[in-house]
Amino acid sequence: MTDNGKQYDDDTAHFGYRNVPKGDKEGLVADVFHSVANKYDVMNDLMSMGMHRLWKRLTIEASAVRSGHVVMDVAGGTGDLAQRFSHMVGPDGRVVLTDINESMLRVGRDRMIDNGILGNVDFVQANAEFLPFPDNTFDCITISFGLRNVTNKEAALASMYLTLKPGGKLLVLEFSKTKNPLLTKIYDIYSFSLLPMMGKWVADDYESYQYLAESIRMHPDQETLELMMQEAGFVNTTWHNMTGGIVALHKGIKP
Amino acid sequence: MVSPLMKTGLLLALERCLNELLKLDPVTVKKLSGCFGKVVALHCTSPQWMCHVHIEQEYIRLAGWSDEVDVIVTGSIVSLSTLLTCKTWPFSEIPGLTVSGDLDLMKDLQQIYQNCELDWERPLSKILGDMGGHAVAHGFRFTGHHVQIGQDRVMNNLGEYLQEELRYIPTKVEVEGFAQEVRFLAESMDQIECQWNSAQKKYRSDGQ
Repeated sequence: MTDNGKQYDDDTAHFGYRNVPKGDKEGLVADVFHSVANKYDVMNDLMSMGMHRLWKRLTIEASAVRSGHVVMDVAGGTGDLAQRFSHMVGPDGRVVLTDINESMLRVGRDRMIDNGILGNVDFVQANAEFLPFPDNTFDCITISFGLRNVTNKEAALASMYLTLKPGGKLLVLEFSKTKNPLLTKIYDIYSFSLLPMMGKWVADDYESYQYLAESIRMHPDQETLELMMQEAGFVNTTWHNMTGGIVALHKGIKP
Repeated sequence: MVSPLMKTGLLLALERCLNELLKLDPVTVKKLSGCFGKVVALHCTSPQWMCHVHIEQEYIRLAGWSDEVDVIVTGSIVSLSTLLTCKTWPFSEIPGLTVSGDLDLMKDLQQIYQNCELDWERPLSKILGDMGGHAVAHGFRFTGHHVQIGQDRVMNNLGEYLQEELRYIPTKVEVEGFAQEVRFLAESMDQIECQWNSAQKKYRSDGQ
């Protein structure tokens, strides 16, 4: 049984609309991202009509990252945010790009190398639920469009909390819930009909993009995610809707 | 009221143009890198608009907000435009412009801007070729020079035209004459007031 994204059954987890054994979810999500890694950026642009760049841009602005900061982008995949953070922190700062999926991390690393970004970025294959860093390391942690793919979101939030410095900021950019019935209807048609078809035509992968649409629907809404962040220990939690609530940016501070 | 997302989009577009322009002057980019990590807030009072300029490594980033700011420049759209267009004016002398925070940083930035030389022939040469690009650039420079001469002439002669031809503005002699008449009137009023006060005193003392 689940309630708005929170899990009450310890043995199963969501994989889109399906309930799968917890131990299987990681592998299933890994297969999805191995499959989409090479066309991930193109598909993001197509599916969001370029809007994802603005959503991520707002996240970067909200981070207030400055020169010398140590920043981690969790489930950062192809390195959109990490690339920007690299410019912002400069040679005295550090950016850690983590992802559980080797294919996505490889694409991100190769892209950054091609763009000449190398000196202040580390690439780490890691599970968001068990981040392999000392406590109180990072000034800012971001996770964009990754939290909904994590099996145990509470564990991931707790892990991010530990690795943040006191006063550090967590930013969670994720698909969320719209309150507008008309927008919800249009969004449903777009997600469940158009998206998987686009996935088929462009990436030759209908199922992965169907999973994408389903996983968005199973993710907690704005208030629930904020509560989860508070339960993990974050304070001054806020959230900000973008594009009518299709995407939300949650912010929390480690006291 | 512009939504944050729309504002971000506009700033992103502006940022791209700005950085493309900056690429035309690598020396300025290098100088700006010396101010890496600094943030300048541009606050336009009319219309209400706020923009933060983050100076990064060989890159300028524009943002809608920022936690920490090193310099705040406040003024109307006219004052801010004057700051951008009149390169030779120190920022402290621009009417309506207020600068607070790290003034040394502001001076450095203004100096970098004053010494900025955009090689705008380069993108033209990429499109039209070296010879064509240079010829077109020369044409622009020639036109620009003559437009500037024309502008200066208009400004220099406009005062005289308004004064002598249209008679909208009085001459210096007329203004001085008018001022003298006003002074005489003021003195006369003072004299009358003194006489009135002394007449009143005399009337009261006679009455008692």
